[in-house]
Amino acid sequence: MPPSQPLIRRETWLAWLLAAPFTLMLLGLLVAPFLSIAIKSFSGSSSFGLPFLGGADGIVGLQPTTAHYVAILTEPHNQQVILVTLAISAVVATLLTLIGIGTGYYMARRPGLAPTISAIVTYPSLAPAVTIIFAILWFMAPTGPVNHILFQQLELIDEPLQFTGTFTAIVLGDLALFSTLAVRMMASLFEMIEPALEDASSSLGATFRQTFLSIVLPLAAPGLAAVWVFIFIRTMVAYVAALVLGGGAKGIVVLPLEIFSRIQSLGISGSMAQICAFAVVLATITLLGRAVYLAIVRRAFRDRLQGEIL
Amino acid sequence: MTTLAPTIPAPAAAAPRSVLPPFRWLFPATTVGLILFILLPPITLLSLSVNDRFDLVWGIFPHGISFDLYRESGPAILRSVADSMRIALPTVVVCFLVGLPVAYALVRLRFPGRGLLAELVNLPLVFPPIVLAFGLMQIFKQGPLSGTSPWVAIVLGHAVVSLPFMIQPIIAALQRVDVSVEDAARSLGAGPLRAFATTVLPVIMPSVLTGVALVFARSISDFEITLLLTTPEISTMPIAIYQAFESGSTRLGAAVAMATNVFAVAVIVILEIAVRRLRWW
Repeated sequence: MPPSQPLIRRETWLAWLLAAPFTLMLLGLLVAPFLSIAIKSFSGSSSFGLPFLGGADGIVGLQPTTAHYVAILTEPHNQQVILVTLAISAVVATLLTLIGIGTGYYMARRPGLAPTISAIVTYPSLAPAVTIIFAILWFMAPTGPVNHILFQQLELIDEPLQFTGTFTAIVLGDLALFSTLAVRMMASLFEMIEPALEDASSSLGATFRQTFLSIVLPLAAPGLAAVWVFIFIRTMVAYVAALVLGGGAKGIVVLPLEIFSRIQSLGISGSMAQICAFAVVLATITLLGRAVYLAIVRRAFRDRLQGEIL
Repeated sequence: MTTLAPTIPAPAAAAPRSVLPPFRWLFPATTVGLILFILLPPITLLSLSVNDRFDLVWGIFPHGISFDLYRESGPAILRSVADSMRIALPTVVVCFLVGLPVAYALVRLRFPGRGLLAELVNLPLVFPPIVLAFGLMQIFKQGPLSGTSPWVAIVLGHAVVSLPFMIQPIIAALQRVDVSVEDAARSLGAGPLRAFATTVLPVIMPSVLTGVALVFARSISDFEITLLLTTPEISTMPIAIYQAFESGSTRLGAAVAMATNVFAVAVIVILEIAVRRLRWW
């Protein structure tokens, strides 16, 4: 008779024991608050605080409603915020995909120069994001280099360019912040494509342009899609660029900044449940984006695409 | 069986000369453009911080060098560096103590829920920081942990978002370590902790240091979570930079920004050099 198996294997106990501090931390500080935020987002109660986290109302006093989500989708200001956020994320992801193709391919095929380029491109991920954004703000300010050259030196424009509070300002800020990610992921992607394929193509008479457009790019296409989605979701949740370059409440407002502003004005004009609904919408969009990214990476690369940890 | 006959390219017909630059120039041109885009704004900020007046030559170069602003803002800079270190160092320790066991479990053990745990490890990477900070704000300011020190709240907030930066390099390193080395130590009488500490830990140390550098960089750069959890007594480097610029003093902000940048980048470069030396040994 075989010896009786324990109900839960020793290895399982050990594994979950080792993972317990991490699991408790994640559940307690991220998952539980988010569930509470999600519950509150369906609440008609105007009380402050979150259910089970110090708030007055629990499940019983919830007064369920979808009014906050309806308001997000129907009020013109909210629609504008969501559309602008999606548009900025799409433009940044597209531009960084194109820039990433150029620089990432150059790095992958120039191993001698790659470490130097990589060190420079890594700077935005090492320095505090606030510095990068304020540097861009100064660079484009009325007294900064761009206006100095265009307006004072070359006299190409009649008055200094107004930069803060524009769509372009936030796009440029996010481009700087996420360029490290895009370039590193693209370099990793092009390193996976055998240079021998390009040699074979050129030995058969194809020009560099033909080889790149009809051999390299099609092979890299799933990776390009993965990088695009990854940059898109990272830009969706970023708000430092919008906070500094967006021009305040009357300028360009993105979804995370809208949440931040409403938190700041909570108790004066904000509604707790409305903030929670905004938070759920933002988290849902980014988690869906993450699912799409994982699906592409697992299908096309078996998780070999590196760089996202930056 | 088909064979590939050597193909001799036919002489190309004289094509009309294009006004566009050659296609292959796009790649170095994009790279140079990106490097200028990344470097020029901080260089002008640096010029502004050491310039002896407000305007710059061509908006880029200083007229004369002066370190007066650094001397004036020295105490504020030192305070923000100290505050950032008081948060970043405990964050690194928490991430190491919490992250190492998870990485070990994910690589060495087979158990139900392993796939879910592996996915949870990456969750803080994509979760919106503003939503995370909002939840933490509720817990630490009004909820069950409302008596907690704001320092502890910020450290825990930073640790949650930084954990993947510690766990992922350790996972990658553990996957390369032969499990039989640890088994051999166990068969010679070493306990599990001693076997791990004497055979595995020295081998994965470069990756642990990489994790330390990444977590440190994430923590000292954090603005979004700190901004919602901070109190007037805490002024980390990003908060100090933000406040200096918001107060309208661009040159002072530039000095604070550049001094803290030099510190942040120097620490990370030193860690990176240590990683390379350890790998070499």
